[in-house]
Amino acid sequence: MKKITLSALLYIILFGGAMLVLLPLFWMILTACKQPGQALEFRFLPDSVLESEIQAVYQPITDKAIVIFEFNPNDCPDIPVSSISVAGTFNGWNSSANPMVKDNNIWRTTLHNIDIGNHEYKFVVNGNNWIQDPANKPTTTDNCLITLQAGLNQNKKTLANQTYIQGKTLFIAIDRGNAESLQVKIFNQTINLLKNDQNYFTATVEIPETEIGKHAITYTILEPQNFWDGMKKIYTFNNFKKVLYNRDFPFGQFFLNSLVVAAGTALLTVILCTMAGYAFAKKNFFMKKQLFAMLLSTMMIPGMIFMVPQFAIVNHFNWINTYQAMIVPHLANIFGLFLLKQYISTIPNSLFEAANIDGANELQIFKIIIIPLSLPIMVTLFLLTFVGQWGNFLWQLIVNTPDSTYRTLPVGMALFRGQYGQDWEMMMAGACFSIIPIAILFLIAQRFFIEGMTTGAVKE
Amino acid sequence: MKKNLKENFVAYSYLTPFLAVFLVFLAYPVFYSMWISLHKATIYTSWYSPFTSMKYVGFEHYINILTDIEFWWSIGLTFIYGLLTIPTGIMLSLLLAILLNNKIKFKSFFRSAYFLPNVLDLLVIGIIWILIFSPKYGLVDMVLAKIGIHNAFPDGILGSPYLCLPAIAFAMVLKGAGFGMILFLTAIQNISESVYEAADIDGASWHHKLMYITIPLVKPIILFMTITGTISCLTAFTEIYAMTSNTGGPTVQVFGHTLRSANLAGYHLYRSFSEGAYGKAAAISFVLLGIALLISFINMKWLKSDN
Repeated sequence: MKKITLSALLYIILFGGAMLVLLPLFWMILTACKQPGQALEFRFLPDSVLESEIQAVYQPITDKAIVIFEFNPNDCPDIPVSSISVAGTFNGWNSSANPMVKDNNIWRTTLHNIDIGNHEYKFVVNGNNWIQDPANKPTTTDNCLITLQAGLNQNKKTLANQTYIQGKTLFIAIDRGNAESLQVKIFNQTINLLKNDQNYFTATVEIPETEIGKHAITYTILEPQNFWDGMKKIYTFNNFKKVLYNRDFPFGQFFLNSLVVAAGTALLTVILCTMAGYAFAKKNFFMKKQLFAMLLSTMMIPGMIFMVPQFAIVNHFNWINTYQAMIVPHLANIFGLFLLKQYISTIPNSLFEAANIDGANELQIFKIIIIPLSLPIMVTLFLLTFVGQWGNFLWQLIVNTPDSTYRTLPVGMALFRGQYGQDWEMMMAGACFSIIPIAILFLIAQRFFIEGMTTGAVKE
Repeated sequence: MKKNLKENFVAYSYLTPFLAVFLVFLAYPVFYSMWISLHKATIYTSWYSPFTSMKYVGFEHYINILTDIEFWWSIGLTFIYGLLTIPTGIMLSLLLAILLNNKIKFKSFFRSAYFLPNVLDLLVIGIIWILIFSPKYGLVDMVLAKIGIHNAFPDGILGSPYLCLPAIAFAMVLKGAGFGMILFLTAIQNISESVYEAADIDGASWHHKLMYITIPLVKPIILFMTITGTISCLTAFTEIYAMTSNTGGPTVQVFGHTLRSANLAGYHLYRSFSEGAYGKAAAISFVLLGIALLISFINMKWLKSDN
């Protein structure tokens, strides 16, 4: 019993630790997949019931009129509507005083405290296009005419599909054509709504005594939400698309540059290190020991020392904004040389002797013995260098001018961050593009990685 | 003699490409750096012709650095950062290695999971941690709000002068733990089973086995990790750049000086470099090299003397 508890504890610790270590990765992917504005919400699964914003119904004032203007774009399909407002004698023909709000394809606005009597009005579409109300054809003049009475009025004739207060009763009518059922939270209770023959959800609520004198009565609409619809409201893949097709930050270009730089450096490093490693492992030559000691001792030097002079040299060669500026300075990889030398030393000498007897020349020996036998360590070094150069930020930043076409992903990320610093979903989608290739590469080649790391480090 | 000459020729042919790059981009820069550290640009011309007007100033840069409170502050912070990252990193790695050395299922899954963060881009990881640590909307603050602690860090964890550096250290220890774990795991697996069996027969408890068998046998790894950890602390740049948004952390007042609370030596060096003070930057890097060599030397003496 005790043993089972212990091993369960072990798994919990290991699993929890793994999750903690991988937390940035998960958080990045999760954030990258969120809808704009959702990144900073602590919500991962959609609510089963969607609660609307607070809705208000105003108590009618005696001697004054409330008027609701509605505009259904389907009534005049030839005018594309992006904004609409109402102007008339009640607001001094001011086209910006009463903009209408779109709700379920119907534009609507409610005006309060309007004088009783006749008023003329028109709709203003997209700021400058004055049109007549299609639901209220004008009779005398070019303008539409509405006669307001005390209490609630509407530009359309019927009040049936409208939420309004009459006396001590609240009539609720909500248009949610696609919904199955709807509830309303009002006066601290939840009321089920019934669907009428025009697809409106309606209810009649008696207003309690305590609420009667108040200026407005508020309620919220509760709409049951389909799980997948709710997920679509939280998550999206659009951020990735936006990052890929971003004109200011050619991510495809950055990605390609990073690929060329990382793969080029890795390939050349492996070639150089294998050649030098072979010489150190299997050849005797003048100053061999001293040379090797000198090479190894440079591993102690902080990389920053090389940065300024390397920059000067690269600048002197006129290599600013080129691939070679990012590739060549990193080719003399001492650690890689050490790895290769150690590995090649383990190849038995008898193989070389046999090859010599068969009359193989140096090139053939290299091709037949060295390359096939040290392939595992060469792959390791390739991967290590690739990963290192893929994320090499500082050097690639300083050898590229800000407008260079040779900028790589890390540099692009830094710029991207400057532009979209607050746009976390975009930032993280960009981050995914720079991290995921390496993560996949690692998962495919992890055996090489881990073995390479251990042989190199432990023997040191 | 003739064969000897030929072998020399062949060997050096193999070495030539490597040595050429080494001489141009590693050996020459060291001496070039020394030269730069003794000079000063009299007029700042442009980023791309930095060394047009260099004037010999002797050891002025070194004297300036060694009397500069900002430099010593950055060294002090680096020391604290080292204390926060190196021992915790080693202990965490060793713990993971010991746990993973048990006979358990999904061993390779855990091994990959812990190692994966090591290959990921430091800059990007840093940015993700900013999001996690950010005030009000960061994961940490949201989780705290869920359990009833609201607005625990009004300036954000990375915006607080006391928490900024530990938070960076926390993120970096988590990132680096897998690497040390692999090193320790290999070393522990190389320890012969019979040693532990013998200890079992003698009735040794698990902490005795840990203290008297495991730790002494993984000492070379501890030494290696201490030295590489020291070097990476002294040159720590990208994590600071990313997690403090290239500011060096929130400001603190120390004896009337306004200092940055995460301005580590490596980042301080970068700032000098980016401000065009190449001479000063080169001089700082040599002082850092001196410190790195000194610490490595002490480490080796100290860890070897116990044997």
